[in-house]
Amino acid sequence: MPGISWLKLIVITLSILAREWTSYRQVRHWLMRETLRYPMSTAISVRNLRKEFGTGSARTVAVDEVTFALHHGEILGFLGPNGAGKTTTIKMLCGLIKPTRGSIRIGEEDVAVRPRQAMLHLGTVLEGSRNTYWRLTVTENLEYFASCRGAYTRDFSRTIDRLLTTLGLTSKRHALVQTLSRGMQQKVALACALCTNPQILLLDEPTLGLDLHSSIAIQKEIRRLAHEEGKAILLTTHQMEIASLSTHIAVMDRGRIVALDAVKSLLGSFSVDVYQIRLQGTVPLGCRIRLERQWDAKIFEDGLGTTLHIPCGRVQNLSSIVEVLEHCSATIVSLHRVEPSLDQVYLGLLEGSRETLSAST
Amino acid sequence: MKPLAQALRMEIKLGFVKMARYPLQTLTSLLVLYVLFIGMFYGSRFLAGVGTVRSADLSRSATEAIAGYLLWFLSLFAIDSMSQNIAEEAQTGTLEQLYLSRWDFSLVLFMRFVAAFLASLAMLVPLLFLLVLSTGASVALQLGKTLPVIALTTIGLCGMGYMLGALTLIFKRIGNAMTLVQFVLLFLCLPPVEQLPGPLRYFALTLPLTQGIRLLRSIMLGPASRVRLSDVYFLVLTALVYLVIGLLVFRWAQATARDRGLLGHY
Repeated sequence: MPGISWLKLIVITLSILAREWTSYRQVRHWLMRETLRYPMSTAISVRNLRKEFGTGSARTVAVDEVTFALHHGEILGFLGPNGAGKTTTIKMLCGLIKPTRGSIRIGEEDVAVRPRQAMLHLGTVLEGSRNTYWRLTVTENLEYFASCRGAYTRDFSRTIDRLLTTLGLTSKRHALVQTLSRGMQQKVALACALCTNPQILLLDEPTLGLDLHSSIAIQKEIRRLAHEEGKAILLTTHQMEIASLSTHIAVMDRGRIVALDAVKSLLGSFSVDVYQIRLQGTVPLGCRIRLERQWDAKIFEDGLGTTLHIPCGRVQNLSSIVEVLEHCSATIVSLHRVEPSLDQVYLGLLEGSRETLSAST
Repeated sequence: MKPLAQALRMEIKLGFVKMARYPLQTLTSLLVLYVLFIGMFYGSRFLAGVGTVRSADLSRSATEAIAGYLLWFLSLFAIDSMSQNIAEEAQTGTLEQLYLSRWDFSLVLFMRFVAAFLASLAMLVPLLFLLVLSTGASVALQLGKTLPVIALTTIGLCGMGYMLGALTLIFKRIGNAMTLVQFVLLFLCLPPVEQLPGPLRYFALTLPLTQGIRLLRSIMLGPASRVRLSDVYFLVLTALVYLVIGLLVFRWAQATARDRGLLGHY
């Protein structure tokens, strides 16, 4: 029947079109996602940034010749003591403070030339600020900040749903922010920073004052944003567990970057190069003297056992030390090469930079 | 909807949300404004001696007083609104976020101002009815004429608001300066300009509020009173001059605050 064949033809055509449409949408979605993930190679590029406050004898240099670059998918942790210039640097990146000299590029935009366009790439959670309106609900905050950045669309409710689900705030969507816990409020601030899907996040002390549970949740989210969504994240912190999220670390002191490298390289360069041997009980005196003389060992007794620190450079053959210990009837509990912690690296770098500074003056 | 229109819509929505979320504060403000006017109006009548004033004159003076009072309230609001907004935002830690918005902060402030202005107008309508009922004034509303005059006056006052906002950006706490400006406006703009001594008369004439009040009084008194076109032109001129000067001062203050790192500090 010609009628049926026409019908068949229409059905087949429609199904082909539907399939093509689906695959077209999938390809488009993938393209968009990839473009969003890596729209530019360098997210932030800062050169010779300097900020002076005051004039004459009251002049203070808050940031001095700071240069760094941040790429997509990277987390750059800014570490430094109070007054090191971290927050001033972040505020210069946001255009809240005008640099005395130097250049800042956010994506392709020069902050000094096109500040407003540059800011559209950024999402920020600033230190000590509430960052949100406490008298409004979570949803109202998100809607407000999206409209402020010109990103409020008719289907924005979908973005809200996605953000709230990701950050575990779904049940709080209609709650006033002032009624939420500190951790929840910080999550709302993060959600507001993310509501326009910015490719760069500036987080100034993102977990300050949070309890362990909230802090872990925020850390998890930061890691996910960088690794899964390819966002470039710059964070400042005093907490080493937060700094350990970073792929790169910049240590700031007195306005200068005293070290900037990948975390692994920094840890490697600060390797204390020591074998640590844990023994049960104490070491007999004769054995102790031999260990100290022959291998320059440092011996610490703590009542539960003894710890030996032996510089790797003095050890040609580890088995010879083991043999000596066995000869002394010492029981080895553990033996490993000591890895430096990020705290040690940080303190070492600060100490090093201050020694250099005092030597030069 | 265009992003700017959407942002304005959102500001207006939030302005009303805040008003509705704190109904007691809104009602108290309304009550304070009502009691203040009634106190001033009947107090001045008592001092002037009630028996000596004819009832037609009383109605006329009530109408003039209401016109002046409403515009004074609007001017207080207009002048206060911007600097109060900046101080509040800086105190609550959201000022920095507004600086990261798509638009210049002066435009964001203006949108805030429009939103708060509409919310105030919503409060002003019941206040006007209450005042008319209590004083027996005959008010010719003539919205087609009164609204443009109010809008033009408010634009000029907005310029003053930007100037005070500029001071807030740099000096943070300017409560006393604000009170001073409010009282200067009250004493220079509320009485008829003709009654002011020489130099003060000329100074008062250059204030954006004075011209607005004069025109509004003429309109509210009804068809018997004539509105001069030259007064309208002068109102437009003062409004624009104040707005431009206000914006220039505000931009200078922003640049200074950026340079000194004052944005967001409180």
